[in-house]
Amino acid sequence: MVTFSNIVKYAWLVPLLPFAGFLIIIFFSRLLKGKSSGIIASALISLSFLISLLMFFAQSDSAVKSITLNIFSWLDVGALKIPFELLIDPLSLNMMLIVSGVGLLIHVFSIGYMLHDERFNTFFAYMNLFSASMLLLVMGANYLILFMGWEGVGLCSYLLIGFWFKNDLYNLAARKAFVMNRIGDLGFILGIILLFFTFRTLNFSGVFAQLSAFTPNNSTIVIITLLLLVGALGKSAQIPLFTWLPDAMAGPTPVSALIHAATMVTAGIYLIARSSLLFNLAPFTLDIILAIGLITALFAATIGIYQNDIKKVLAYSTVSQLGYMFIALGLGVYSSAIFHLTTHAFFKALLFLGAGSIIHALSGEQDIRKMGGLKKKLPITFLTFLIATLAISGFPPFSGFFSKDEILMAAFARNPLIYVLGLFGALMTCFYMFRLLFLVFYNQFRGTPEQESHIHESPALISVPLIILAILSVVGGFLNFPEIFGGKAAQANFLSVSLTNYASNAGHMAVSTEWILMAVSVLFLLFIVAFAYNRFIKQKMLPAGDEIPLAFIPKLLSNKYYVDELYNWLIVMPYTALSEKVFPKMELNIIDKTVNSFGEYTMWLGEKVRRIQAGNISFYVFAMVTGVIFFIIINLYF
Amino acid sequence: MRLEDFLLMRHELLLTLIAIIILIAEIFTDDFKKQGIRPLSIILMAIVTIVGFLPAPTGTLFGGMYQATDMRLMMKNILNIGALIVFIQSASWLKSDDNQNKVSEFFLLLISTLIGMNFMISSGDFLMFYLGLELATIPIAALAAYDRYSNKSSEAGIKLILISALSSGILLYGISMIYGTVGSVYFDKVSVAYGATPLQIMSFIFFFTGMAFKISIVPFHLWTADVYEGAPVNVTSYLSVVSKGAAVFIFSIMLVTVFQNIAAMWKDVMWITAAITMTLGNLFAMRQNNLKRFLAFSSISQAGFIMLGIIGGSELGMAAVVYYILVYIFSNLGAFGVIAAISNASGGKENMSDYDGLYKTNPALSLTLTLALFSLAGIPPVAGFFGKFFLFTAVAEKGYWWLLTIAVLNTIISLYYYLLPVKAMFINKAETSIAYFKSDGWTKVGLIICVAGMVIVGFASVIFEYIRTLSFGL
Amino acid sequence: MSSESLILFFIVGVFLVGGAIVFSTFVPPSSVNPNKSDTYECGIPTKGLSWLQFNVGYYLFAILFLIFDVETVFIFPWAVVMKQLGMVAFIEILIFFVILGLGLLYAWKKHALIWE
Repeated sequence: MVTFSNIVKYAWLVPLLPFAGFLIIIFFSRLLKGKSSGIIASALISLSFLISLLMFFAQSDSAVKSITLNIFSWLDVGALKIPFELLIDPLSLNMMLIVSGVGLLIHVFSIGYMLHDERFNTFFAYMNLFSASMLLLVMGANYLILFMGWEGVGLCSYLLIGFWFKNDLYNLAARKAFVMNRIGDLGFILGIILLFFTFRTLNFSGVFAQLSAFTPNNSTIVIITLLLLVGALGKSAQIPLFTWLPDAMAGPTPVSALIHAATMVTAGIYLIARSSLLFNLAPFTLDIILAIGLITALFAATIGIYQNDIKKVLAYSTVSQLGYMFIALGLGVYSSAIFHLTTHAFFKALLFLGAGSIIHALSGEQDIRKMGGLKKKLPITFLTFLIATLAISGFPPFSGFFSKDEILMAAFARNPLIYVLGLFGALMTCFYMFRLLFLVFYNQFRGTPEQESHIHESPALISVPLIILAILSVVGGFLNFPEIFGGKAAQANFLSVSLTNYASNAGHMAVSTEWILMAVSVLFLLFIVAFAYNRFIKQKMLPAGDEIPLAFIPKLLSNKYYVDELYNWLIVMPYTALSEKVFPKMELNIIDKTVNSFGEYTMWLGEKVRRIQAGNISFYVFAMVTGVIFFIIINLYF
Repeated sequence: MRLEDFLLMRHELLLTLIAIIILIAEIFTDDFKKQGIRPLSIILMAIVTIVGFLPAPTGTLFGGMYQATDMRLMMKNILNIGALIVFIQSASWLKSDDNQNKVSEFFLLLISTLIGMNFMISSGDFLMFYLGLELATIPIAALAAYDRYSNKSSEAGIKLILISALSSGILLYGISMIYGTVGSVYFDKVSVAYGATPLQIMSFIFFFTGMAFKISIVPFHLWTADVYEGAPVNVTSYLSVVSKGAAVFIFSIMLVTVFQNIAAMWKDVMWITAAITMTLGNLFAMRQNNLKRFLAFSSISQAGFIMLGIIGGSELGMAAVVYYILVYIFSNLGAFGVIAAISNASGGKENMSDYDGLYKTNPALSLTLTLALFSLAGIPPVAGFFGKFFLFTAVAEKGYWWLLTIAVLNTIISLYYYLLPVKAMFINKAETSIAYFKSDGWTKVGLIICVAGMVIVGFASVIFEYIRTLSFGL
Repeated sequence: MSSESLILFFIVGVFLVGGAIVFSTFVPPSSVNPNKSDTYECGIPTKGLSWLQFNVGYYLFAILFLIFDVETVFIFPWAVVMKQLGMVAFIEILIFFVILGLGLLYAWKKHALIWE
């Protein structure tokens, strides 16, 4: 009999299996030939997925919804007691299923995609480590374990983004991701420290149990939440720490899929959702989250319109969709954020893998101006890509519609202005996604004839994950089928054990208002699609080449608002200037001189002493005897 | 004496047994078959190490001269692990032509010192202690001079034997004064009768000097630089890790038991020496360019850190000391192992500048070295961090804030120089960095054990907690 | 014992040693001649320097001699009370012999017994 409490005992296998995969592949790299390392990696993560799935089903039959599993006591020094515990509850199960499930599909996809890479084995080792870290992150029962996974994820992203390390630009991208994440981590560490000093524990349950003693907007809680927010901003690529994510597509495409869809960026959302009780006590922080989410969603969407690299468009769409999740978090409807996270994992993984399939077919081409007319040649990729586009744009009944709609409804309930801005962002998303779709799949092929002759549909290893993800993108919305359509909001109820929403889920809105809003948004979407169709298929407009100067606004947008340059100008350049001009002097004159004079003085002393003595050994004896006498004297007479 | 009692001494007896087996193998094999002694010794040592972990009774022998408590047995096991790693790391070095005809001597001498250390650790009176100490010291001088035809190696041997003769003379003088004032050499009797008369204080200082030589505490550290540099790398690593660890352990036990009556006094002495040792060791290490010498000096400052745990003097402090020795064995042997491998493969390149751009050519080795240096410096999440952390907690618990401040400052200073080789390997660009080479199986096994040790000991807090439960019995 | 007596101990020690040296410089009749500062070698006039290398074999033989010397030192006390100690002690002394014997064999194998 598989009961929940029985199967949870094996929960530690979930992060351990992929980690074991990492070790196996790293250590036996020489012996693993061909696809074997990919198969090992996929097999291990599929086992993780299976265990997660078993736990999920066992849990739905069980009265106990959340179990803490003590593995061993990790740190136990004085007041510092941190057990190594895993928390299996609806929220972590939800995340585990996404990470291992979507991760598994990406692994399988990568077997086909990376097959000809010379560092195939290393790639799968890193991928497994990545999944293991992320699983640890979502399963930890206290902030320190969460942080461990958090750092592991950061490290792996660095390794994977810079996977093709022979390219300097890719290395820079990896470094940027690392630094941006470190800034976020700093906030997170400070937050953890403050948490510990306030609550004397880092366990989720321990912290949340003491919250009743605090009033809303208590300054300590606000500071803690703000610090945690900084961490989340870094990992989830929100303004102002978002610039690393679009650059992160420097890694192999499956890595982008893993980072953008299943792991890494969801960590920030997870952190805030997990701490929902804490954030509920800090409405001030929630407002800031809302503002940041809104700005990021719009900001990234406008940039997305003018990008010509297929992966960059998707990258900015990720930033924008993460913005929506932050809006949901800011509104206090954490379950909607997790819902959108779930559906987003499906369709974003699908989009990236589809893009990978296209890039694979075109032997490395990423510029959408050089694509076109691929509809016939890549039918499976086209169909799945179409589904993903419909899902991300929010067409009913695709999954994105339900999750985004839920967020927009909550926004309307708070303030119609937020709703309008959110809808505007969604329309932009729709526009650039259809722009991408039309430019890539319709009209004539615009690349070289040589490329054209090579175009082929990808092998089954690549297309099967696409099909599975496409199905999930279609039906994903029914996970949390809203009550208005006669659904039960299953996921929201499921998550309610772990999450406490700040505001009720658009409950006080008239049903008619909801219908009207939905209709409006769908109408607008249809209009946008028609507009894009007219522009890119009827008129066959093409984005201008790089050499043609652009008008002010397009130029601003295609250069991503010059944020990179701004950061460069604001932080990097002054810092470099400072380190070039000021630090040498300071280092030479103050630090170096102090340190050197220590060293030089001791050297000088050594020389002097050596000169007094003819043979070293007698000096050693002399020093020893002096030492003895010195200690005798101080002990007898002081 | 019943036969079961021999079980209490199983570490020493087993080591003696394998020494005899190796000796017999040496006598009855032909010259051209001598290479087989290397794997034989390693396998025997591995068996001894594993057998050491089997549960066995504890108790005392010879009327209290010999004591086998859980903590001491644990320490012997730790030393066995260290010696085993040194054995494995030496394997490829012993294969060279120069060492063809003295392979078994290396193992025999090393096992002899190990037996000495084990007796020293288990001693319950000063005579047993002194016997163990001498047995642990004299063969090391021969080991230091192992490269017979190298001037530096011979010099190291001579210096070591001279200084150790002096220090054990002083130590013996101290012991005789203790006997003179107390009338017994048994630890338990001495600890009760020991007072703070001037003669007893003087005897303690003499005793302290002898131990300070073994642990290489300033100002009794001067021999280390020459000996560590002159001796073969593997001997140096053994000397700086296993030998030092054993001395620190028995010294700390004696301080908190035998000399408990004058704790206030020795804590002052230790306070001063710990602070000076950490600082001077750091200052010397900072300036070294030869990596072997660099590790030697850094091991002086590490000794200063270990003394923090002794000053803490509590169960936590004792556990921290043992735990730190365990961590230190893995970290330092890891670092020495990489340096030895590179030195062997590149024809004696040991300078910092030789390591420029090593990551590009030998990524696995440079990652191992980085991990080891991180662990020595105490950067999380490697084991060294927890080691230092526990030592610091032990001192903080007793309110030695000034000492703690000095220790933390020294940790920061040491960070600087521990990261220098890392910088050389990863950041510095070199036109001719050391070319890629394949390490042989033994070297790999040795390094993998070290890396695994650093990681596992750091993450599995079970180990620290286990040591902590032992420390209540001492 | 107080610290005063320790100081007294020091002073007496210094005076005894120092006094002996001073005493021996002043008291005996002094007659300096080259023969007296010569190296003594069985009454025969020395040839060449006394700082010369000589065969390490001397040391080896001395050490080998020591093996049997030590053996004897241990056997004597054991032999005196052999009956009271019984079988265990007998086996122990046998093991001791075997180990020493192995040492001798080792020296033999390493050609330490051949005068080269």
